[in-house]
Amino acid sequence: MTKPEPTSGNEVFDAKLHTLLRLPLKTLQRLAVSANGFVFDPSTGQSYMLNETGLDLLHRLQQAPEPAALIESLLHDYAVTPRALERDLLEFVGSLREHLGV
Amino acid sequence: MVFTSTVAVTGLNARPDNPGPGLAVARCLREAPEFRGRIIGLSYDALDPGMYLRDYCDAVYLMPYPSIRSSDYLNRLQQLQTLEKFTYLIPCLDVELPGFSRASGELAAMGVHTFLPTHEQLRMRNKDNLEQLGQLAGIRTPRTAVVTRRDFFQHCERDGWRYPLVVKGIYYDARIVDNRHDAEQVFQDIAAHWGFPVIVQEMIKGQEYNLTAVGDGQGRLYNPVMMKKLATTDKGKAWAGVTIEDETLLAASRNLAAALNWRGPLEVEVMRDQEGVYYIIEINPRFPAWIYLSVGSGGNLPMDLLKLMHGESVTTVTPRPGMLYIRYAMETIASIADFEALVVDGGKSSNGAHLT
Repeated sequence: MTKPEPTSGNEVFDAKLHTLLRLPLKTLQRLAVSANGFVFDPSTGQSYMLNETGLDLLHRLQQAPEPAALIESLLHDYAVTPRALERDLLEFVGSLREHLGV
Repeated sequence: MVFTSTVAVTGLNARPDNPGPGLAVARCLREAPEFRGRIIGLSYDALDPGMYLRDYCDAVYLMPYPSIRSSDYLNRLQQLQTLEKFTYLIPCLDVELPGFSRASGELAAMGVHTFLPTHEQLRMRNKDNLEQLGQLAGIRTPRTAVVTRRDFFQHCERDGWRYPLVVKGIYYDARIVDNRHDAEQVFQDIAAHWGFPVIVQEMIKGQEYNLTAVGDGQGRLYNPVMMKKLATTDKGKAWAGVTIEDETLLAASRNLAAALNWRGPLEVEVMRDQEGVYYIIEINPRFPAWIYLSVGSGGNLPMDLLKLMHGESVTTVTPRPGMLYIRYAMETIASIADFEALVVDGGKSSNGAHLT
């Protein structure tokens, strides 16, 4: 995904993605996240590096948004097609879940 | 309260690849603001590095190996207590614990306070009792066999064991073996060093997490510090680590402390496999070599132990997660006279004079 050129999106995303986007808030909020994208999980001792987009996504997920609202806001803020957003979110959230063990 | 007493600490074998915890314990005490006492280092080898680091030990002495007759060992301890007047003793090596635990009455009669697990508690934490420990902790244990014969490895694959396996000494040493040939060699080597039985364990692939704390002997665990290893030596010893907050490890350790009424320092080692399942690997009845991380994360477990020995209350500290330690190796310089004092006189007293 690249910024900005907002697009509107009313696409129907896969229900699987909606489920995946509902990450346990307690798990997300325990993460120590620095401004430059360095993430430390104090529960597992693992650390990760996120790029600017990943960091933005993590911040949004930490606010526990409704999946539909999150998707809508991402389609608004990023120059991305719904199909590409779905693919990127599936990859990012899948990877995040794997690292967090949830 | 300010502590001005003298404390004896063992386990100064701070070798880079597999350090004993004694030097780290001495360092914790030395850096405690309320500690103004003296530290006496007790060791088994004249080349143990801790014997030469005078910032941490005011006096250092050689001891006979704990495997000798206990009366000879206690006589040496009595001799040194008379000389240095230490009132607290913190043993830091697994192999010392049974003897010191049995002799706690004699030590008290000498005026030496200890805070050690009982003989029964030590028996319960033995590596050959892992399954029961797992039940007490409420987590799984890797398949474990107590082995006294090398021919175990001739038939173990028929019995469902799969390489790699972990072969462990009853007190120390754990090595990973990939085939029967290596297993038999390691078995012989470990048995020659540490005696029988030898422990064989299923290898759990995943992340290792450790916890250290002090048990009060009534089921409570004081100020647990948890750590994930970030780098290890070729012996699997932590070379770098980071403090963490792991609810499963903490709950398992609290369960163990409550079930055993654990008294004294301990280290709980667990593995978390790729599916997030926890397995208890072992319990060590002493502080780990990484105990300085307790200071690094805001507490001081050796100082807490001293307070418990003194009957003082211990303040609860929540360790900061995300604190790293990185071990390093460097040289210290000593004169041949320092070495001579140890090998000829058996030690060096507080004022630096050789014993006569």
